[in-house]
Amino acid sequence: MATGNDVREIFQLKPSEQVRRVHKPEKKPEGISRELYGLIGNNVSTVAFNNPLYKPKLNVSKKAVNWTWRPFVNPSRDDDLVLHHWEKTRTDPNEEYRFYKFNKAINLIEFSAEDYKAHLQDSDWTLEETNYLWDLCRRFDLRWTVIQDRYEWPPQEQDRMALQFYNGNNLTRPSITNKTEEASEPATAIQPSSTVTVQPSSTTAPSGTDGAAMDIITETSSSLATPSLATQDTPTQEITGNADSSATTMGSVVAATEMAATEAAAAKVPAAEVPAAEIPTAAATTTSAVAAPEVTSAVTAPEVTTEAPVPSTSLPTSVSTSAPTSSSATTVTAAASITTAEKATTTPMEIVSFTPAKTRSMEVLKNRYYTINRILTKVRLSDASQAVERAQLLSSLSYDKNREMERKKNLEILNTRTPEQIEEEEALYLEARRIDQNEKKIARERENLLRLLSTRDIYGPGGPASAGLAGQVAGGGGPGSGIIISNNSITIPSSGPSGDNGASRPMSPSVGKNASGAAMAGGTSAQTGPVKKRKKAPKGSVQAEETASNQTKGSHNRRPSNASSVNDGPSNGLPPGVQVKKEKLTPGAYLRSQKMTPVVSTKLQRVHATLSHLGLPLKPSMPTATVMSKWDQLSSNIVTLLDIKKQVDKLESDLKVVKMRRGSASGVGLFPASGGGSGGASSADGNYGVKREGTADDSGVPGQVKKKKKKE
Amino acid sequence: MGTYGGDEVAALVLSVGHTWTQAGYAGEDTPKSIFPTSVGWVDTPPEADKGDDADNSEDTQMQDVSQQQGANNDSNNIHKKDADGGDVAAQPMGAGAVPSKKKKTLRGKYYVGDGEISCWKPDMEIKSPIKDGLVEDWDALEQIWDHAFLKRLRCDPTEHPLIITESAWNTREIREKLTELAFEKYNFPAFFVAKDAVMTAFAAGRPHALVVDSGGDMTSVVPVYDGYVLRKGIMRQSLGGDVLSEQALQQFQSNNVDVVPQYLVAKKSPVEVGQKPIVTLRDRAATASFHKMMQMRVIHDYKESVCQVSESTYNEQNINARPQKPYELPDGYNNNFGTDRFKIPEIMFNPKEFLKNPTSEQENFVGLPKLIFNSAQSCDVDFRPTLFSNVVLTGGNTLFPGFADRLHWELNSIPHSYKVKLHAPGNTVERKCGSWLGGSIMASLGTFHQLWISRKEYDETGPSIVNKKCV
Repeated sequence: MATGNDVREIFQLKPSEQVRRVHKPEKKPEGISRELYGLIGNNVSTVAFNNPLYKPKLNVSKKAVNWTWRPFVNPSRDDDLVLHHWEKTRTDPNEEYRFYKFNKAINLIEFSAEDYKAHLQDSDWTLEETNYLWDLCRRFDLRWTVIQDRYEWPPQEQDRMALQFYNGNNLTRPSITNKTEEASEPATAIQPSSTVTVQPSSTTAPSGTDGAAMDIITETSSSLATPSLATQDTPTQEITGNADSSATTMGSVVAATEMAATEAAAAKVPAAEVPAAEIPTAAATTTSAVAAPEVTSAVTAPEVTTEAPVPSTSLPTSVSTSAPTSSSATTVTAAASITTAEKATTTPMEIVSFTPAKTRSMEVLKNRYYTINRILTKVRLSDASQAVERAQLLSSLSYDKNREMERKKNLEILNTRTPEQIEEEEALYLEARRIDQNEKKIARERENLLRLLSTRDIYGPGGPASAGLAGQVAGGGGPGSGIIISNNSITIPSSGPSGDNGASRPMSPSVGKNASGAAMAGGTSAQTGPVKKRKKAPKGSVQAEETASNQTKGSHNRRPSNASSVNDGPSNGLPPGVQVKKEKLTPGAYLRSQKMTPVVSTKLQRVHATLSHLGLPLKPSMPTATVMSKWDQLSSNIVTLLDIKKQVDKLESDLKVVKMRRGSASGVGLFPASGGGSGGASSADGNYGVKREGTADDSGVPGQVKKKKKKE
Repeated sequence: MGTYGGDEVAALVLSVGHTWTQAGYAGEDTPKSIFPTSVGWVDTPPEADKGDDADNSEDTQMQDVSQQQGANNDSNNIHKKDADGGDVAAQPMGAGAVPSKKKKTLRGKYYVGDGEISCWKPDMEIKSPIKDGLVEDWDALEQIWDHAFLKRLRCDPTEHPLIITESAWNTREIREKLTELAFEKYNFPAFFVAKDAVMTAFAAGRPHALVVDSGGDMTSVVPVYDGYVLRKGIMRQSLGGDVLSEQALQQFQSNNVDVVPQYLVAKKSPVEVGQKPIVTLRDRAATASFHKMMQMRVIHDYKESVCQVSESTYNEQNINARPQKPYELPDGYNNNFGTDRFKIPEIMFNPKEFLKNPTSEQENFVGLPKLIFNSAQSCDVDFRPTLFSNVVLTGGNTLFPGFADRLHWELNSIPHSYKVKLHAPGNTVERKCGSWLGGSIMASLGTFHQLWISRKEYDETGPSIVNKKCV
């Protein structure tokens, strides 16, 4: 490890003069025992001492930090409100207010009236209402729950003024505000729609509303849209009649007129309408009239004076009332609003009728918001260079209204279940799970069974029949009932002329070559079969096999090599999904005895027992390749046979149990007592159907084994 | 200091409820002063009043009227007087928020605070200026403000910002008048009005909550979303501690027990359980409202010391097995109370069955769990699980033993699949002063100081600014 001195050496500097301090343990003097020296010597104590901690003494010498009661201004505020707080004296008095940085506002995408006209038209929305939505979004920082709660279009007086406030318009002292809607419980504020349409010539419409209290608000319709006009909007004439508790209907007419001189006549229409509408109100009001001076000033706004000053100014003083309503009285507001067109032309009023203060569902509001955002994003980020950004933005702005509504509806249903429904649902769920698990269990069992059966099929003489069975089962079986065919026993590289029993096991040359190719690929064989030839081989092999399969039907299933199995996989009669187990090739030099498939040790005993039952020795006396291959087949067949036997025993006992249960449950039993034997058992479900077939085939196995034995 | 985002500006926090008024400094955990909201006054005789300000002829005229009306000491008459007074006062004073002198002469001397109103005086009327969470009597409210700031806190209002709490359904007129009062009369440099439900949620440390407030006058359930009241979900009814007290009083009367308040008792001797009291009464004539208040005070004590809520659905048999509790009235009558003590708070949960002799309004009362459920149900479906897991309990009427357990049990027995989590502070002060506490926390936050309504803003905009800045 390089030390500092090594570095110094490299840089050809003098070695450091630092004296290396070596801790030299003091040597124990002679004549003192080690234990005693440990006590008296200047050794580090082995015991850690904890000095008891007392309450720290007051440090008189240290000067206390000075604090000052200091004024401060919060930059988050528009005004210069000076508040005081304690600050450490040493801090800078001119430092920016500590909490200013927390004053965050959300960034809303903005749009102008032109944008609106060009892109954002919607039959259900007006520019004003969209602006109103935008203002609410800004005020409540996109808290949709609150926005939906407060959403009322056309906005109430309070909201209107607040909107102007948030829009940054300077407010003059507003006119008197006598609204009683808030007193009423919000839930009970039902607003019947009394839509009023005023034709340019006819001026009778407002009086057409019920003879109840009237709330007439005259304002410029574009107050929300254009800030310049919004200032004109502040001298709002508002004449509120406060109905007593019996008369609970309050019609409010919002006549919005552009205060253009050319439209003065138009502006006069609602103003002239006031007297007629107000008379019943005056009669209905029982509370004391509180006439604020602002009303008169508001009404005599210069724009109105030209045409309609007299009727309108006379009214507010006589009619305006202000009193907190008795809270029990539910005030139902019917706000019929009349909006004039905002075109500054000489054409008379174009009337748009509104339903009274309407609320919208959160989905509608959100949909509008996101739609506008999407449209504007598309329009504004139209460059190709911004495509990625745009795609990201658009994906974040996606909103599916219908899906959302559907979701909420479902959620509602989910949340209003009765305990019984919940219980039932849970029971059903458990049942479904149980069925599902049983399904898996059955499928697993079936799979095992099929594996056993198909192993036999390969060698069995009844090739088509067993293949048909495999196909049938694989077709009707559940998921995962794949059939794995193991052909371990034909892995012997019998490339040469294959023994004497060519009749029973015809090996056409092409097949032989094929097999040799496979063997060579494993690098096991000493044969030098050409690789190229192997590629050619399949076609020939297929044909050869077809001919061969005429002789022995089971033979075409013996595809030892991967190449052949790939090629005639579809044609060899195996159902799709049936895997053919690949031949396991041992690399390097090996003994032939290694090729013998070992019998599982647990079954060894029984296999031996079977062999002795057949009168065969435990090991073949003449272990030629052919004999060994036969021997291998035999032993694996014996294993299969044992397995199948076991399976049959199990299923039979199952069947017996089920039958007994059925019998005890329903006396006679639903099913006719079937022959307990393996062949003719008619069972209730598919599970047993499989078993039956399995057992039916079982009968063939011993015969086969015997046959093979005979061949030996 | 900066660690929790606090920045003290020595703000005052005032919370005027129907029964109790709490006043104190922001940043503290308990109000400096808690006193009854009820104020007492004695109508001044016209002769004495003439001496005070005889120069005002209008005053004299008013007094005559008041004298006629004040002849019978019926609390109903006070309403008439208010109406008349308001009528006259309104004309010169504009909005009528700034109280007129005439009212004062009408009522004469005011008595505010526990020590003053509970002390017997002949002809003293008692009334709370708050009804249904709304200010009804501005003169009396002004007395309360005076008392809180000048006599209890003894501070200079011009030096402190003020934050007050209001009910979630407060009207715009009342808030504007309050603003006017704060700026015109007391000259506070800054002012703010906060919703009491929001403040309670704040005190419980929750941005979203379903605030269940059961006070003396009424019970309300208010959903709060991120510091905003959801107006459409507000549910309330005038079923509060006072109704319960009234019912308890009726219970006594139906057992032929007269509830004699302390102020009438001169001497008493111990009697056996359930026997007629042996008592010497004082000859003290009092107004009906005063007598009522003193009776209610006894009942209040009875409720506090004896009454209890059954933890699960009311079951007469189970209740009978519960131990009885002894209680002695001021006149010496004492008894052991068994089922009766469970029946009273049970009204909160099952008014249909347990409310005796209901008025037409009271017939429509629903149980508190239903009220809560209705409130949550009127909110957005996505928000409901949050509400149910943040039910905050506040108000003195919820302090019955077992109240929270019972409410939790009831809420779970209504069919729904939400998880109900009830937040009920074990601390009595916290439960009683929830909204004050929230105000205290909020007004001491550094980030809050940008929200104050300043004097300048008020001068520019007028009282209506409160409707813009305090939403």
